[in-house]
Amino acid sequence: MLGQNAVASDEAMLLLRSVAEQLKLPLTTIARQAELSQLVGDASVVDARSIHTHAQAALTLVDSYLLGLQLANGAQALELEPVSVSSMLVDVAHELDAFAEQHGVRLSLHIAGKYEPVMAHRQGLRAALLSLGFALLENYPLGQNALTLAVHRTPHGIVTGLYGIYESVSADQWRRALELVGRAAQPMTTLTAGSGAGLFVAEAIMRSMETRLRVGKYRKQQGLAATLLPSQQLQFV
Amino acid sequence: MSNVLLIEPNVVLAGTYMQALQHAGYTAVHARGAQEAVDAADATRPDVVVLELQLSGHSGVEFLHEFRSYGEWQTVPVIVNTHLSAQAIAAVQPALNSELGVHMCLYKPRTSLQQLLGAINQTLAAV
Repeated sequence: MLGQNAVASDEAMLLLRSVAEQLKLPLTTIARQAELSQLVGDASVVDARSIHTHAQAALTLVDSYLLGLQLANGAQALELEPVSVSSMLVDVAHELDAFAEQHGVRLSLHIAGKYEPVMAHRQGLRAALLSLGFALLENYPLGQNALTLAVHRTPHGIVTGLYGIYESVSADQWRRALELVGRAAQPMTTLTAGSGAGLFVAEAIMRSMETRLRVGKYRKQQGLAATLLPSQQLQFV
Repeated sequence: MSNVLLIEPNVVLAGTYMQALQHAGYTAVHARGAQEAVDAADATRPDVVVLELQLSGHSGVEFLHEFRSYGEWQTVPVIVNTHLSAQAIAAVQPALNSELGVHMCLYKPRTSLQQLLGAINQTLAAV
């Protein structure tokens, strides 16, 4: 029975991977059509900028899911390299900016001090932070309008994540949400109104990099963040 | 006015690219597959080719082998604009660059129209 379940699970995973690959085409088509209407000044497409931003966000989620899958099953080698977390956050904030603006959220970037490079899979870290960002921005609680993308140092390493004014997000809720992925329509209602796929894709990628997304605090805000280890090699540079 | 041969299996996406190319001042011709592309190249003498590697029937790589086997097309610049993942592209990129003379590989889902037009401009300027 266990063997049959494992086979069914593998088949479902392959099918899901195939669906994700296929989704890239219509999403790319929507994104490029919306972009074209802006390029040629076609006023008949209502809110082309928003359509473009949302299609690109969906493409990022699909790509991140596929990357997480490849890293988890070893199809893509996990090559950790020294990555500047500060410049990565600047890049991610830039990418999230239009999406945040359209959702009426002010996205702040806090990089206090200098940070040595961390050991990470560059593409993976970027995908995880973007997925996390899109998921939280899309579902930000009513009446709140600020999210903070931040990095800070702790005795355990360099912590980077996304924080907001959420009410009582707990480690227990997050642990339970991870158990409910794919089983519940709303695994973590304190952070997301929907399935929260971006949160769990981000967690899967972080796990592949041998870290975890955890509930954390930054300047009285709560959110999800991962602890990354500084690159030993470059600490003396 | 430069002539672009766009090889793209999806007609809707191709229509979008064609409009963007024409808006940018290029003449452009579209082919859905490898054989159609060879015929189109023969008829229109493109200055640059924009190629999706994932085609039905013969693949984009097979098209490139065929394309480069003709003397007059050996120096025509080719830009790959594909849905294939970075990992899949990396596996064939050395051959694409060295043997098949591909000038640039772009990941289609993350390449905006502006970026594609910029890549075409840049490639044509470098020839």
